[in-house]
Amino acid sequence: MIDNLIVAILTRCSKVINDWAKRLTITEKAKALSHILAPALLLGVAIYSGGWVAIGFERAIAISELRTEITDNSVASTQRGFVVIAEPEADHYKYVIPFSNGSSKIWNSLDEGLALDNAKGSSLLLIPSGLQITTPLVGVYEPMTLVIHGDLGQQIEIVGHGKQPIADWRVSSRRPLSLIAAVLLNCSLALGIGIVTGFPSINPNENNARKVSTQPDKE
Amino acid sequence: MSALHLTLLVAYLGYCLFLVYYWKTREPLPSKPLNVESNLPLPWLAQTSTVFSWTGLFGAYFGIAVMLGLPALLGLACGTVLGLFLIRHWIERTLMRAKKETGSFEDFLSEILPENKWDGIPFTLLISIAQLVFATSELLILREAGKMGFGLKSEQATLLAVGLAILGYFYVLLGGYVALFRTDRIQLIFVCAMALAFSLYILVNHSQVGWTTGNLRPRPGFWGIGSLGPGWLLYVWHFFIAAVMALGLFLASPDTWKRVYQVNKDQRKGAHPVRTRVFTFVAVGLLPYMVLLPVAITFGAKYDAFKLNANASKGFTLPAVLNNDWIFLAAALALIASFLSSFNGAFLASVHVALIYLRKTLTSSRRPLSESWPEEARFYLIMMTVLSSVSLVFFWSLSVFCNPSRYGLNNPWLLGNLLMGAYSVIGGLQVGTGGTLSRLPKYVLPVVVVVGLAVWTRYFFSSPGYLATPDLKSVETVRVGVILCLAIAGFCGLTRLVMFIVGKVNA
Repeated sequence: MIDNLIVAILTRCSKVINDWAKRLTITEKAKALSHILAPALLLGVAIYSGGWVAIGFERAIAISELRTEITDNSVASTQRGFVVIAEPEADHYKYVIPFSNGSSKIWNSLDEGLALDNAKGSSLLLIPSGLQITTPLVGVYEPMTLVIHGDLGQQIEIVGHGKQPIADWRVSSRRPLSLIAAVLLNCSLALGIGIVTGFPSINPNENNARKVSTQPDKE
Repeated sequence: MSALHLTLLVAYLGYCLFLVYYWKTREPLPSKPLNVESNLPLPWLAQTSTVFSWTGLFGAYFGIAVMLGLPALLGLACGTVLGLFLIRHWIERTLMRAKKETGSFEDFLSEILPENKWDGIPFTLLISIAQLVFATSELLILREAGKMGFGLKSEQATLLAVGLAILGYFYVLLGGYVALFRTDRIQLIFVCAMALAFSLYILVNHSQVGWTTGNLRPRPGFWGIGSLGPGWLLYVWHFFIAAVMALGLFLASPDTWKRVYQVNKDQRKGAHPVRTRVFTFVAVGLLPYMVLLPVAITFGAKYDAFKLNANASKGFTLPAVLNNDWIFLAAALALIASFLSSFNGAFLASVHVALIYLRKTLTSSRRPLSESWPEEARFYLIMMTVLSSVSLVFFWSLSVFCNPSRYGLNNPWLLGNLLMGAYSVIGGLQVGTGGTLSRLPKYVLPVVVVVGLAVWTRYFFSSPGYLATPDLKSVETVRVGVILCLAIAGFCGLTRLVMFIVGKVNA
């Protein structure tokens, strides 16, 4: 019944918009399309096809490679490993981060109880191909950090969704994000100006239902 | 410091948007939206904004300066200056021939586009699409610069590129040429500020380079003629090729024609002496190369060391200088400014040429004007079409040229390199006909366009320019592009000569 209602509302709205659009001149239609629809569609396509990831809403995991260690007598030596920062994720995903020559330990930021729950629940596992993280994690409601010793692989596997370069999952610097934020802010402003400019102006002298009801004798 | 970056970047872009909107409300677009010639400030300042582009100066010209050295760099500078003078002469002569000495820029465009549809449509489409693809190439390289130089991830860089494209689109949609010229002033300031910042940094941190032009020596194996070894004859050849390339870029860039037209008009109105006019063109023509010179010298001196580093020749990577917050900000502002300037110019040029041809076709057709759409509606629709086309080409190029898993390619400069063929064809036609395409017999032009593009495409996919990753060796394709341009020019000239002789014989 709700589905039918939604369909009915959408049909009615489409009809209203269609009737309204028919009254517009060619120039007004072209203006509306060029100021509102075209740029909004483009931004929508860009965000849908990956931009959402760019803003950071999609990836629950960030990876950072570790390469060296510095001892207390100021000696630097090679020590391979990686850090994983995992956000709480409600959706079901299984990530496999490959690594080699590593130890069989996961050093993490969870307390003993939560660590045990997630290990037993197979949310955090060391498997032959690497580190497996299965979301949602058990009892984890804050970002969690993991440290693993070993040589990080090249591609992360999202089971059922293919593999992606680990470079795209690395921790982002805040500085370049200021570029995107500044551009998106101004883009929103520009789209707002576009809507104001491109929307057909309302004719105050046009006869409408309110006037008909209050001044029925007036044309 | 990221809050500072954000604030300054928002302020810069927001100010430009405010400027566009202010001038739009103060001077709404006329019924012919792009027929604007007043209140266009300082057109002489940005005459070479086509050169100040990622595809041009920071792409092809940078590669030429490093690999071919000083003779080619001088050729580029001379070609640029010569191009400005030639375009000025071409505009004046075209308007004079049409008996419209004080005619508008649109009158000039209308004169140069062929009347009959078999010639007019291919030529208009060629120029319009070339500009559209140029704008897309800027987007691709901007995206790559965002990734390699500023540490953005792929999706972030894509979003940055799309966001800036939409901003640029709104600038020219709301304000047309007024917006373009007014924002160009600000943009040029930032590009020059970046150039100054980088030059100072290079001077301070790379003084061991030894600032001599000896660091710009031509590297062997490029742009050769047969078995001719290094010597003055070869360097003259390099100079010539670079000059023709620089000239060709201008001959195929309607936004440059508009700026030169505007400068000429202002100078005629202000009765500026010839010395001032010459000085303006020379100074502005040389400006991009003053920006390029210190970077090219430093990079040229260290090129051999870079070559040994496996990562260096595989992508465009800005140095660790960007760890300095102020340099980062200067570079980010200049990146955006340079992109917006060239993108907006190419975008508007693509729209304007199409708009003028459409108007010309409708005027000469027998259809009553009342049945055709108003010019304003056509403007909006063409703007939307060009934006959609740029988007399609951009996303297609991402999936083909920047997607190693598909065709093994990860080279955003490929599109710009491929575009050189179109510029060669346009340049060849312009040179061969003296800027008057109606001198060619009917139907010759579309054949020349198709054959020229086919020859270039066939060559390109087996050329040194078709590389999986960016490499400065791709400058080798410039020589073939110039030869194609000269071949087309020669063919057009020969055709005109034959027609002249036949005409004389018949008479």
